[in-house]
Amino acid sequence: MFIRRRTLLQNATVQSLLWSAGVWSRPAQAALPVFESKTLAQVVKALGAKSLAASADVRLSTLDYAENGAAVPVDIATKLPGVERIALFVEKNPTPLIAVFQISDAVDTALTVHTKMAQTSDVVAVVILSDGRAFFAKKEVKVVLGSCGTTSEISEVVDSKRPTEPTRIRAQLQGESALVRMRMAHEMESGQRKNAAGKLVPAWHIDQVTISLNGKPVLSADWGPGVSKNPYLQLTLKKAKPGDKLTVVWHDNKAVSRTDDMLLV
Amino acid sequence: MKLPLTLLTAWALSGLAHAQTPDALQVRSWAASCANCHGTQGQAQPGMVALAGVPKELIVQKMQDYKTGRLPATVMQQLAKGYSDEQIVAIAGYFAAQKK
Amino acid sequence: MQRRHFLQTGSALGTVGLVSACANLGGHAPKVVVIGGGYAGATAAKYIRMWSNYGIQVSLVEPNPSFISCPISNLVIGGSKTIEDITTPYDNLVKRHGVQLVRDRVLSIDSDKRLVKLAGGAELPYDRLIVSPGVDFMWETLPGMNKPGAQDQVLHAWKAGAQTVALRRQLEAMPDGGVFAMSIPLAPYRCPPGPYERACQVADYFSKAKPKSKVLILDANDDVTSKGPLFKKAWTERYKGIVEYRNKHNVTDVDVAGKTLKFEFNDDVKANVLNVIPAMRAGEIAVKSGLATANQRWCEVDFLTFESKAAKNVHVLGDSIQIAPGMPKSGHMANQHGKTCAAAVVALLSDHPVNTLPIYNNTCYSFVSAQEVVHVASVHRYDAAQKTMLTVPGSGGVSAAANALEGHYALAWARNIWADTLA
Repeated sequence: MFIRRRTLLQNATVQSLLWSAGVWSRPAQAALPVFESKTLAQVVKALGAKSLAASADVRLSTLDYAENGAAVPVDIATKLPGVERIALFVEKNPTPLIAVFQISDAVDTALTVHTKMAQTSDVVAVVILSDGRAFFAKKEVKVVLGSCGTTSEISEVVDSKRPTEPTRIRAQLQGESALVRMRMAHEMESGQRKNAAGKLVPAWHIDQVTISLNGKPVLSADWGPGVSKNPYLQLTLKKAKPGDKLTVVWHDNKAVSRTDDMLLV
Repeated sequence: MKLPLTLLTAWALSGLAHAQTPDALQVRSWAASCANCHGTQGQAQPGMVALAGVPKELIVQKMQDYKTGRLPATVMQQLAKGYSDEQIVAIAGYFAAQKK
Repeated sequence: MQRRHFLQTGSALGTVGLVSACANLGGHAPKVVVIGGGYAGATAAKYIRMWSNYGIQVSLVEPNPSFISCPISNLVIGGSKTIEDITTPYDNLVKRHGVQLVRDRVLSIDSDKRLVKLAGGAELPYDRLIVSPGVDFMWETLPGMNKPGAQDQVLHAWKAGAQTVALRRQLEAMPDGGVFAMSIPLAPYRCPPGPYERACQVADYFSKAKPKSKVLILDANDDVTSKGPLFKKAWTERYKGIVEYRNKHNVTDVDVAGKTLKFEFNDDVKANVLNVIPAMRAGEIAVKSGLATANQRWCEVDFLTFESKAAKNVHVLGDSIQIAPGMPKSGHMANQHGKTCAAAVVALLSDHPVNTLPIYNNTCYSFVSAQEVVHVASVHRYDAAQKTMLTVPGSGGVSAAANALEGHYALAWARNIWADTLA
């Protein structure tokens, strides 16, 4: 196991790893309790960290101004050693905890993910080390919605029973490592949106992701409703070569799942 | 080097003789945003209604009709709703005072 | 006394006369330099002259010999207008308003010394500087477009002029049955509805001259960024079988020789005529002068005066700015920036209070055919609490449907805004 047991989250992680290996089918369930935490301190505590401090060694790169609140790109990187988890937190979102990534030593501690932002807010990247210390970097992103008659039609509510669409994956071998980008196909309904009749569309979103290289999990993540529609993710595999098989599995809160493979060339 | 207050005030007085309010220049700025369609100082190019020298009450009435939807329009009803009644009166007064 | 002299001079006297009179009296008029003679810069130049009763000297630095309008330029591509129809000389700014037109480019801005250095070697001092350079393209995002000759073969035509005519020629030369592929970058970009209007114009041309041909729209955005339902209706009803719209197609490279677009996550697209609208940012002079503080792409400004948040006595207008909510990057809006800034600059240079409540509007017309038009309109008002311009609730909107009456209004709008900006 590359993650030490400590919290509810890890039990879920073990479950999902077993599940993705075909051993254990996972029923539909509510979002993990940690996603109910509203403050950074609560999130970090729920994730089992012992301390929290700002650090210039956590590099958070995102927009100064976001004109599209549906998808704000966030880069998180750190050279701190012993990183176990990376979390993304958007203070003013209805569900401020966006995602928690479990990092193995097979991937660089550098990720890009797209988040929804409801309004101008601090965006916080948190890195939790194996010794229990947590460090964060914070930046205010001003949400200034774009203009000019952006489509007023409310997008259709998609049936969760319709067939899933493939995750598009692109990998670029760079020497020994590989830069991997992907876009999953998923509505990522937050549960906050109203349909044309004015009723709330129930939450329906990917809640768990596992990425494996040649069958061995290298990155897994727990997602809340704040990850953008058609989730974008970028990571770097430290060691990769042509012929390696990359597998991406996602699972959502209605027990729908999808597996896609790609051979690196 | 700065222009003196007297220069601006003199100009303002000459151009807006009947609309002597403390915000005369503010009204001039508001009215200037109509020039894109209605011409600089309300002197329109062919194809669009001129506003320069049109009686104030007429402009106010038309804008109110657009604002309430009494008068069908393509875009004026959408723009009229962006201005308060007082702003409309002031802008109308500015155009009424412009040379045709 | 110098001041009384300005007042008596009245309007339409060339700057030469004022300067010599001033020289006699030993004073100097305040100087404003404007960089860029587009919708924002030309309007600002004219209105500063008018509203200072021709007391403020204005130099307008512009490399192009005439003003060529991006709005209506899609009709030149569609074939119903000529390049001459959208070209206006700068003569009236000079003759009627005494603007000093300087045909040159700006090399650098020294905001401490308040000097603008020109490529031709001259230096222009200023009391207030207006930077309105429009947009420049982020060519670094498309490696293939940096190869020699690439930018002459694969056009953007997103700055009206030679490329507008050249793109039209490429379409005229295309065989019937060919494909015109246009890529649209992720918002924000200059003129949100522009690309979709272009698709309509090219489809209109194809429907008449090359009916087996196709228009392929490859949009990086999740959906049409402006007037979506109205454009989609035009594509499915008027141009059935000609226009295909594909969203979420983010171009990452162009194989110019192979006429192929490459995407982040989609299969390559090969076409007969490629029109690549690259990602863009504020004009180069603004970026290299350190004014583009928002995402390193756009210039933050104070919305009461358009003064840059990064440099004192420097104002930024038009497409270059970091927008307020709901504020489009349009020619109409740039003209409004010009007038708002002109009022503020005249006030600032005369110790007069600046207007605390700017209110202005935007109306953008899009031609879905040679005659029929749809519009979007909005009214923007300064909000003191948020210190920005906000759209006025209940105002603004779009056309109910494309119609020819608005086509007439659109052309009248063009005549009037060109006159307001340049006459």
